[in-house]
Amino acid sequence: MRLKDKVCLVTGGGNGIGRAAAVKFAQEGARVVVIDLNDNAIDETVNSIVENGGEALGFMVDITKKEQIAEMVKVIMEKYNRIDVLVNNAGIIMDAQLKNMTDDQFDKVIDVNLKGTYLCTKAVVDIMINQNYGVILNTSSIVGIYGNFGQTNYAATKFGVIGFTKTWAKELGRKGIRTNAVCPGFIATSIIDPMPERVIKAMEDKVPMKRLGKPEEIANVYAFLASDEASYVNGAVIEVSGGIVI
Amino acid sequence: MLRSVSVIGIGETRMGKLTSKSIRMLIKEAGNKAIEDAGIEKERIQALYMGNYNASYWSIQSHIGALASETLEIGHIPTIRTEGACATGSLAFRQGLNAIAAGIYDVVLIGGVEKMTHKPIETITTGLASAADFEYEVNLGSTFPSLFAMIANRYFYEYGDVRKEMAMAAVQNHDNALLNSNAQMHKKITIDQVFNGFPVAHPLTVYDCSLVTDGAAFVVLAATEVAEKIAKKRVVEVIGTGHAGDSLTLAGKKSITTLEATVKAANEAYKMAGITAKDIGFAEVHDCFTITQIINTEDLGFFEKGRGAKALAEGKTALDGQIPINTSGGLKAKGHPIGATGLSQINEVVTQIRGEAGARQIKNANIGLNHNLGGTAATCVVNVFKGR
Amino acid sequence: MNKKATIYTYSIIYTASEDFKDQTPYVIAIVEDKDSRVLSRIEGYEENKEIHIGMEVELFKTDESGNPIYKFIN
Repeated sequence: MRLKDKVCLVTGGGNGIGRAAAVKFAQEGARVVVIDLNDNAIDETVNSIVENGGEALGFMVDITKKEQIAEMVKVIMEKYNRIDVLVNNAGIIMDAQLKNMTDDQFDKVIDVNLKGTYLCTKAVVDIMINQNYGVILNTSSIVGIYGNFGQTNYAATKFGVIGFTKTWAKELGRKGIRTNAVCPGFIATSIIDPMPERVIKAMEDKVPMKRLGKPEEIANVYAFLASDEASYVNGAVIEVSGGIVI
Repeated sequence: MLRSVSVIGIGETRMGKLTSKSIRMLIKEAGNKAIEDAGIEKERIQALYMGNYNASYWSIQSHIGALASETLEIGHIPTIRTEGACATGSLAFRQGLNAIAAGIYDVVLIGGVEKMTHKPIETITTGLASAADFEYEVNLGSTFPSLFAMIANRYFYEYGDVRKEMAMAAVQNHDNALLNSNAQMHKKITIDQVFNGFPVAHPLTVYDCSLVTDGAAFVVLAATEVAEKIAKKRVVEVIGTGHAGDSLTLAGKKSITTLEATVKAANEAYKMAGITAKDIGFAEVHDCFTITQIINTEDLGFFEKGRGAKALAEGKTALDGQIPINTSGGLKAKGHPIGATGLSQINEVVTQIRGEAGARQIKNANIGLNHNLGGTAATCVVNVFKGR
Repeated sequence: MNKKATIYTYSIIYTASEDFKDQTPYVIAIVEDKDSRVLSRIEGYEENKEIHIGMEVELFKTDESGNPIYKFIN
């Protein structure tokens, strides 16, 4: 129960890594807030937590919309009067090679992945400063370290999120707030469902551990970082990728 | 009433998509909770009244009365299953109530259960539609929500557009459910989200509609003179009850914006209790759809016809309002496990009167009401409760 | 029932049962003729077609079960 009673917000908590993190946090005793655009996905995450005796609450929020975030934070504070952990996990991809990429593809990915992360964190930072306690966990990616073919926009945001992490670690460390980034490798979530068998096999081959990661394996790292066991981990960038270099 | 009857025990499961729980498990959980809450030995239970809407179709299981008594190990007592579409739970309650009032039994157990989420949506929709008229409504392409959508459109025509207030009802119920650990929904929604939700039948979106839910809720009833001797907790007396009917078809009703079955059942209950609508402190009303909540508050006499929406918008039915409605979150956010709903409403009313509602406790909760409709108000049961 | 009737109330169905899901969106209504009312489908609906209570519709056919089906008057 490493997160007993901690109020933990997970953006993109409706599925994949976000859901796994929400479920893991709840298992560790947290009071989880599941944030996503997809209504049914929220209900399923909340349901699977509550069915197992945990506590969770959902919000349909577009993290590119400041007012929606503010409204949500207001409700959370009315209910819990604190926010302990924020996992900036919500993100999208809109892949294209640079020569083919449209401005729209560029803008949308920047807006959700980079600006959305900035807006969510900004909405809770004062609360965390007042508490003299907080943990901000940013979902970067191995793409944020190595770049990736066809991901000009995505790579920029994942490098950018590391930039946030190191900056916030410097600004907020003295305020009792730790900020860290996690870089997942190739993880078996619904994002890979449409990919052909041979592409998945090729991905697996590149990994020294010869397999894709599971969402729970990322969630485990989030849970550790969110807990007081990671009390001296600040400004860290942790690859959870089976050792892959892309 | 011939003999006064009181609630001495309540128990319900969490409501929701309970994949790992079978009908038996739901009954076992809620039934045992209620019996323990009453603080009685199982031997004291003389009969079991079960409410279940459609396990015959959704689980190929009828004869729920016998299933429940065996599951709960309460002995080979007389059992029966009642059905009246979504009013099923309250109808079971009324059967048990009448039996005690008539002096046939002293202590009975009443339970409602529904398992719906394990079937694909088409099967659920078809099962739900059988609460309407298959031959004259469903066969022509009506869905159950479309019937209430037609009620909404007629209400707009007769009393003004209340689309916004309908959305506010959904938002308010979700807010209340945030404080109810047994509720299916733990999700804050906004008016805009209601407007922009997936369209079901104009003007209703998915957020105007109650949920598909698994769950069970039980109540232990005893003759008041017996209750006073054996109950562990504050005795909650049933001071009034009413049961009325109307045409199965929507087209066959005199008015579709004043649901006559509600008016009649409420009047019967109020008369028996020696009260008027003004004396009701709070109520669980049948919000199968958001428009229905507004209409119900008018038909129950809390607000004048046509003024229910304004009252809601002014906060009169909020948790801290003049007459809190659906503090549990209602069918919209707490959930609607059809056969159990009426009894779940009663669980909430009793919880409030006992002062056990925690974060959603109403101040001075003493006289509460539950209102349960079947179909497009072809059946209505209203019960009034008062703490002793 | 006369050939014409007026709409007492209506709805446009977007989410239908298995049997009707190919027809969405379609209009279901209670139509009124003098003092009698009956539930029916109103054929000939196109998206954004204006519909209001009191609008006249006319009898189109009866279905296999003998239920009257109406249609919009153009």
